[in-house]
Amino acid sequence: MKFVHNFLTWLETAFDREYSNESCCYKPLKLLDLSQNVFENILRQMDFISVFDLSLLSEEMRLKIKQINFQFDCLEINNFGSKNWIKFRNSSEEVPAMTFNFDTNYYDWGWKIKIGEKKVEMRGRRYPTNEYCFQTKDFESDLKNLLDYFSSLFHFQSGFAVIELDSKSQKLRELIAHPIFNNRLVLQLSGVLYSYTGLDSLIQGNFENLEGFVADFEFGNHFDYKEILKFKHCSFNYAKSFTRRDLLTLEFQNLKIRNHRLTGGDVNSFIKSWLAGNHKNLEHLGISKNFGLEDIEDVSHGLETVKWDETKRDGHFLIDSIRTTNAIDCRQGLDVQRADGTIGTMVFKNDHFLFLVWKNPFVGRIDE
Amino acid sequence: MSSTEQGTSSAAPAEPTTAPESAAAPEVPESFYYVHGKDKVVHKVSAGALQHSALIHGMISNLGYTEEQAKANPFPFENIDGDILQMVVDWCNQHKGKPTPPEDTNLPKQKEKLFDLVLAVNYLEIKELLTYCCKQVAMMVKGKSPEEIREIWMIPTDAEDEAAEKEAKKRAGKEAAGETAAAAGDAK
Repeated sequence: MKFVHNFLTWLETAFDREYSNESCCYKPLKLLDLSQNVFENILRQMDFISVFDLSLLSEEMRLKIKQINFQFDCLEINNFGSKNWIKFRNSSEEVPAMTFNFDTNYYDWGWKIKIGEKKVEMRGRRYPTNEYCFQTKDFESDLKNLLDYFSSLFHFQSGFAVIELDSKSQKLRELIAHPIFNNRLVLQLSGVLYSYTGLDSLIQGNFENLEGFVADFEFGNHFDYKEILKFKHCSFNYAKSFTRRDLLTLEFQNLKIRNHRLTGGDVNSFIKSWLAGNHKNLEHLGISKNFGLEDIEDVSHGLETVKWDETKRDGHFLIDSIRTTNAIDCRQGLDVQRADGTIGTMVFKNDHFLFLVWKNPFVGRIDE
Repeated sequence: MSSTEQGTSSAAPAEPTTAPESAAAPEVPESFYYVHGKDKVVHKVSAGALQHSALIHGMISNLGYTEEQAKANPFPFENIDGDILQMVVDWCNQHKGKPTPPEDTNLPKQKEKLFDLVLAVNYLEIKELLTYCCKQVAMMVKGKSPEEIREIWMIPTDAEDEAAEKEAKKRAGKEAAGETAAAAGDAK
């Protein structure tokens, strides 16, 4: 451990030396004396980790940073398993804009920084990847303080949080309505479901503020999908008990299903049901081909399909999910049309099938 | 620098470019303006180069000066050091009529002047040069710890801010008391 520490210290020193030669020549500048537009110009060209460093320095600095209005697409929180993290994500960038890693490992070195009202033990930061590393005995107990701090400085369009099914992550459940999520939180529950007595037993919080729900656990046979599907986005990662009847009778807006037992015939019946005027809220259905849907050729059986006509709809369908934005290429898709003129497109991908409904054929956009 | 005249401004008319015979319209001779900084050294700059500065461009666009009038009325920038203004003029001349590249290798090399340059460029509203300069400033703290950043950019702690605020209030209170006493003295 000591060797690693010494090596890191040596690296830091070597890195600093490279820059100290340059910075020694500068005439000192009071950054806070610069006008706001110059201040913003400088900060927008800095590594974001240094912007975060700056925020730790003074109240006045925080006020000036807040005025810049840094925006992120999504705040992601992982509170599942032994490694916890918080990420500021922008879909336009390949690397996350900022990551805060937390673990319970003990290190005999590090230093404390004050974030909000609390002091947090920090173990270091990695500049190239914009990562902060913290040591914390109880990630959850620091969480509210961290979210308050982040939301006092930066703006997030939405949130995505992974939490445990069991009693852990209770504090995060209590923070579902935190303003940082902008009323657009998608919650993923991971673990093993032993018993189910309703949505409240799963979330134990103010789920009225949730935008979406990802069930990353195996359902029991008595699971109430209707209760879950009222959310705008739903994703079932283990849906073996999700039946043809569920698919045909339940209302949903955006649904992704993996590890299921649905057949091509089931999906065909669903599309026929949609053509008959049912499933009025539907925007997007995504069904994986892993462990199901092997007879995919049956999906379009007996349907009047046409190839893409660029005068009827866009070639790409923009799926604006909470975490990423994808433009789905629908130029090879097969279209069906309902009596009211609404177009639905079947897209056959290598590992999944998509049925997309064009609410506006020339603004190819839905939320996943 | 060829376009800079030290001390007196002997405004030589712009050298007319020899137009090729095939050219249909004769070229309009380039107009020049004159600026000076704190040191009163006058710099002759073409209108094309000055287009980089939104401030100066706005000032000259409706003037319609003749060469003599321009020479007789140099724009004074008393808040900008002469050597800084020289750097700005050089940059404007180098980038006259050209699209500015994403990475500018012609940035002034004197780093000790960087902050004065930032202030001048911001005042003169030269957008591209300001962005380049701000990038240089941002690079100063790359890889530095928060405390090192505090030192480089002279960022006071909350305690120092509070102390300074108290001191300012105290001073203002004293000044107000002094003024009241003086006014009372006058009344007597």
